Amino acid sequence: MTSLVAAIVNGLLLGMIYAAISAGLSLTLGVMGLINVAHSAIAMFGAYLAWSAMHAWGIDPVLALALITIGFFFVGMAVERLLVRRVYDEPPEASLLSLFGLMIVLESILVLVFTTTERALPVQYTSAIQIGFVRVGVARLVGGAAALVAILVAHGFLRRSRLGRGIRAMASNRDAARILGVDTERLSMLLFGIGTALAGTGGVAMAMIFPFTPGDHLNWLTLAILVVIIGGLGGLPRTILAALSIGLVESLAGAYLPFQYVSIVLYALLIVTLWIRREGLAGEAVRTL
Amino acid sequence: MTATHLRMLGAVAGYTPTIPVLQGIDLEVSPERCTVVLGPNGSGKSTILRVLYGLLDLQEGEIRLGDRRIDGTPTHRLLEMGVAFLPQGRSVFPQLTVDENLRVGGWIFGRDVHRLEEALDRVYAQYPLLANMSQAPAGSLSGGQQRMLEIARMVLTDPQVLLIDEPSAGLAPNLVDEVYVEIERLKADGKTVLLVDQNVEAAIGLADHVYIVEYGKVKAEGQVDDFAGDVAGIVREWLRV
Amino acid sequence: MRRKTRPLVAFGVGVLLVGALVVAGLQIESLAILNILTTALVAVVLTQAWNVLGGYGGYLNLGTAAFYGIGAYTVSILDYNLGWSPFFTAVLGGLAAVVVAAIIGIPSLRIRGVYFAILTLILTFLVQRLAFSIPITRGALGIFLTPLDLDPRALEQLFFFIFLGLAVLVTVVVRLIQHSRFGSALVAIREDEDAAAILGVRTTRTKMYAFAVGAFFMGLAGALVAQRVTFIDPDAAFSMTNTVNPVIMAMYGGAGTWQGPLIGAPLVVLLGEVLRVTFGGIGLFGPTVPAEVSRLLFGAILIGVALYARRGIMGLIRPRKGTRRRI
Repeated sequence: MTSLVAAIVNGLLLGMIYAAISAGLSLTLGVMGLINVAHSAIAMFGAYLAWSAMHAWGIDPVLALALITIGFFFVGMAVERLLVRRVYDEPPEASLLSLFGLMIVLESILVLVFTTTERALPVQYTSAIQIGFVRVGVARLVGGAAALVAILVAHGFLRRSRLGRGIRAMASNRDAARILGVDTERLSMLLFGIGTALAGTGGVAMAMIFPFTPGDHLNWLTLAILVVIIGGLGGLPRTILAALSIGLVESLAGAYLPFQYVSIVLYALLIVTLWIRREGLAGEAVRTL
Repeated sequence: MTATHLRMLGAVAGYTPTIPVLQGIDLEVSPERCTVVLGPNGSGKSTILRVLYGLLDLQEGEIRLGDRRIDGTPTHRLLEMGVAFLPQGRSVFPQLTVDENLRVGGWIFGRDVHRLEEALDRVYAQYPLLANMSQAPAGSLSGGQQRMLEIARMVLTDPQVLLIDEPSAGLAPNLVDEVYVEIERLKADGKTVLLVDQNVEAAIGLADHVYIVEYGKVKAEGQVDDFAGDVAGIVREWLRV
Repeated sequence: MRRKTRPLVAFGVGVLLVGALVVAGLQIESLAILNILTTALVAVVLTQAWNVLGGYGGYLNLGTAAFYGIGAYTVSILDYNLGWSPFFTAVLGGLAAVVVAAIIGIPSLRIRGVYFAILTLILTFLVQRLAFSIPITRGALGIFLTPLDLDPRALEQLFFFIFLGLAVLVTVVVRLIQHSRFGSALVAIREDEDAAAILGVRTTRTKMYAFAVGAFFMGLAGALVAQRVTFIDPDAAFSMTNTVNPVIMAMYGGAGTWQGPLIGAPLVVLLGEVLRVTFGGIGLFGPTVPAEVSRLLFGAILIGVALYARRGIMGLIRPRKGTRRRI
């Protein structure tokens, strides 16, 4: 009973971290109709930045997470400006291709600089704490909490602010928004910045709980796509819900399956979901936020 | 805002460089009048509006608002100059509430909340129906209500020149009249209207000046007052290809 | 007059080119040069295979590495467990790729947009993960194939001629496709899928066939390369390079033409060699250049192609289809 509750709690925290890594992907897809295949490579870059910060300057991973999230916001705006905007009016494959190129470049840089040796980003403090009768991994708790904060900030911005309203209008009907004078280019840049910031949060949070090599980001990407497809493009709350359920499934399945099979289960789940929910990525689906 | 002429001079434009849709159009929209552009499908009517509103670049020619050249002006600048556009078909943001839709309509006010609230009050007073539904998602409104929301959203910034593209397209027949009554009211308020339409009867009813466009050229034009008697009949004569 | 002579000229040039390559294969002493030529021929095969759907049909296939790896693993498993030579089972490798292509393509090619590209990309991750995990592929240990009992030069020559033959075969197939109803249907899909469907093109079926033809040759190439290198592991067999290179090579040479891969593939291989020699000479990354350097460069080139070779991309990608509506 206790172990079941622990698995559920840990699964939910894991799901929160998955939500962080998926939220950015969901936003760029939902608003811009863009599948950012470089998303997970950017997240992995964040993970290695946090790792370096810890080893070089002894910066606490939690502080690194905050700094990387903020820094990546600007990085994301630059990426949008340089790689996405100029091909935005081209067929979607053009931006897909340039982001695919970015993914390869980022991964290659990580391999060259950090090699393929597995790294870990230990959260200092203690390894686990007792909450009531449940033992919870501190890394999961910290990562999950950070993820929750980042997503709530993004969600609040989209729901409450003027620019957020503009972004939602753009997601709902881009042409109508342009007709009303909404600067869709600037808002796209802003949104891509938010997505990238969330990638940074998610990447560092993932690194807190899983050891990582540069190539692992492909698993993260698959995971994020899975979350987005299961959750649909109906906005961040649905993304969080989907991520939480996947975290839960994985946490419960992880108790019975060897680790490497868990990711295969996820891939298989993804292909099956794509089969069933084709409109999930078709681009013709109604985009909402 | 002083009333000014909107002019299109020798406009050539299209979607491919080789085959322009507009092949040298001259058009003048007089202030506080309703100018109507009629023509068969594919004649380039809607393209005229898109070019005027800067959604499609001119290949040749120019567009003037008063003495100012406005071709190539970004959308938000056009709105600040008092030119607004109502596109054909549905253009509400279905997932946003009515209130949010209107607020996006006041996008050019920027962070000036005061101006936005003032404008909202004015529009809600004008369209009480929308005030009652302000928190409902726009997608839950009926077709006619959505059209009213689109019109209200267009006039939120109190523009002087309204570019309207087939306002009754896709509406149930019993709602069509309402839309033209609303346009009539805007005209009575002193707005300058350029209306592109297929609905000859209704459009002529509003028109002060009529242009007939065919194959990207102005085939005929004239003041409605100059025609004795059956204007619609004469226009039909023109339209008969 | 011109129209009549052009195919003849092309045929003549082709015969001369193949003849020159045959002579080169017999005469060249340097195994290193022969090796590079063979690499270029493999690249031609993969690029031509990608070209059928990607170039003519305008559907971005990011699963080349998956089909190549599936072919390689099919023959390697058969060789390792049953002792069947890849020379006899290579066709099975191609067919295995076709089966997987059908599983992926039937649901995803029915609809449009980037969905297909993403699904093929994820397929690659999945099969690589599987190869790492399931017992029959021996995971990261990889599989050693039975080496051929030949001296090094004869070996190089053998594979040079095998891939020369395959490159000629696939090029002829692509050229036949280009001038067939099937090819016209693919181009119609690329240019305007709605119009193509209205004109009676069975779009889903046409795309599926194109995808399958490409997958077959990708699997076949992977199978024969496995015998050439006599060892495969999940990293090498499903290397993303095999997905990226055909796209770049086709775009360089001109996607959607049968000549494009013939120009683009050797050009990119040559470029890679020049870079390798240059960077090796500078010693920037030590005496041996890590594979990631070339991956990095190819990633950068991909970005450049996507951003600047727009007309090239427009040649590849159908205009206005599955795109955002503009007002």
